[in-house]
Amino acid sequence: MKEYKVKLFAQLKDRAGQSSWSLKSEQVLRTSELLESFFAEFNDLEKLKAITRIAVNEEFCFEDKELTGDEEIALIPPVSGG
Amino acid sequence: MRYSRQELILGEAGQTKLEQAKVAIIGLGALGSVSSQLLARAGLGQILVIDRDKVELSNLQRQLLYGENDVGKAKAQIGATRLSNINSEIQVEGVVTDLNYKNIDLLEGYDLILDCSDNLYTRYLINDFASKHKIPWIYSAAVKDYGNVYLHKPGKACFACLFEDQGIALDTCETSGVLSPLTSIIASIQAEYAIDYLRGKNIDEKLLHFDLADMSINKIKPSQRKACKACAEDYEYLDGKKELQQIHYRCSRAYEFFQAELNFPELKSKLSKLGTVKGDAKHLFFENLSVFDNGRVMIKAESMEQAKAELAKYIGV
Repeated sequence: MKEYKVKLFAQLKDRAGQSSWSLKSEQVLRTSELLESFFAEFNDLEKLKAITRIAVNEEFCFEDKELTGDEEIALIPPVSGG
Repeated sequence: MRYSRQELILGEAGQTKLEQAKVAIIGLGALGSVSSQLLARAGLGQILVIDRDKVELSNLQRQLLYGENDVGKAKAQIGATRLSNINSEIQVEGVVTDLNYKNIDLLEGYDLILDCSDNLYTRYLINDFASKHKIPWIYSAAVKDYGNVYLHKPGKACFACLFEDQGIALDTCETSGVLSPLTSIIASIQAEYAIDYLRGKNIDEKLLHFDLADMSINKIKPSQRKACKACAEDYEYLDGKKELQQIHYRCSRAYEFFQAELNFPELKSKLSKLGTVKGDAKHLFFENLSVFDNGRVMIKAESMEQAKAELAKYIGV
């Protein structure tokens, strides 16, 4: 059993009402699957999915990467306003 | 003498670099108020400030350049005067305009651009311009209790690499609120990046995310996105292809609309018959409307419907 721990930034943190989220899974997950699972649980945040970036070990990840569960993962939407 | 305390850190050579620098600041709201002041006080040689808005009472909580007597005045105008009063040894220029693809050449020749705007459209536009002209720029943004800062150096991962435009509305200061310590912190980080960049110090090339709730800073390493249009020299914002076509909600109960075929002189003449019209050859203020000669209309309204009503009433949309 792996536990994928994810930090939530900005509007995602705000809307989810929590600064982190985790998912336990028997299977090895890819970044896209982790994203799908998050937005399935927080389905009222669905419209933010298209603009949410995933960072793996403090680095933007644009590819669909296989995860081990040991990474530091973060979900990052852009911020506007000023 | 004036800069003696910071020269102890920057050195004479570093200070000289600041005094020779030309910086453009887009947006003179909460972020721009702080960034511009810090840079003016530090002795940045030339500062251009651009803003399209007027000071409102609800701005004073966080927009540190202004006071009660400034309400109703154009931010870029009053802000430039204030910056000149703070430091008469530097050159400050204030331009009251809506930055868009037709007038963005205003930024040509600057060493560094500071984004202190309040919308993503302007950021993508600056990103295109800066990428094309190989000018570094610093993105800053803040809302509620969190914010971002990122220095884009020419040839490196750009803003559009990190965040692709999906046309999705994000939280604004008006809908979600914003705390003034947050905007001051974010702008202070931006100003420090600017000073460090201009004096030639190495800066972390990462997106900095700050959260006031737990005072945490997270830095994320960027990378270029293969499908990024700006990096492929396809400048959709600079070409005007991405100009706004519909009403958008902005900060401070303002709605924005772009009317491509606006006849500005005719509208000015018509509105003058209905009431007091202020402004100049490039923009006008009338009741709840600010209209720019490029066709951009800002409407003060309580709802989208009211904004549409105002548009229908005065602009004819």
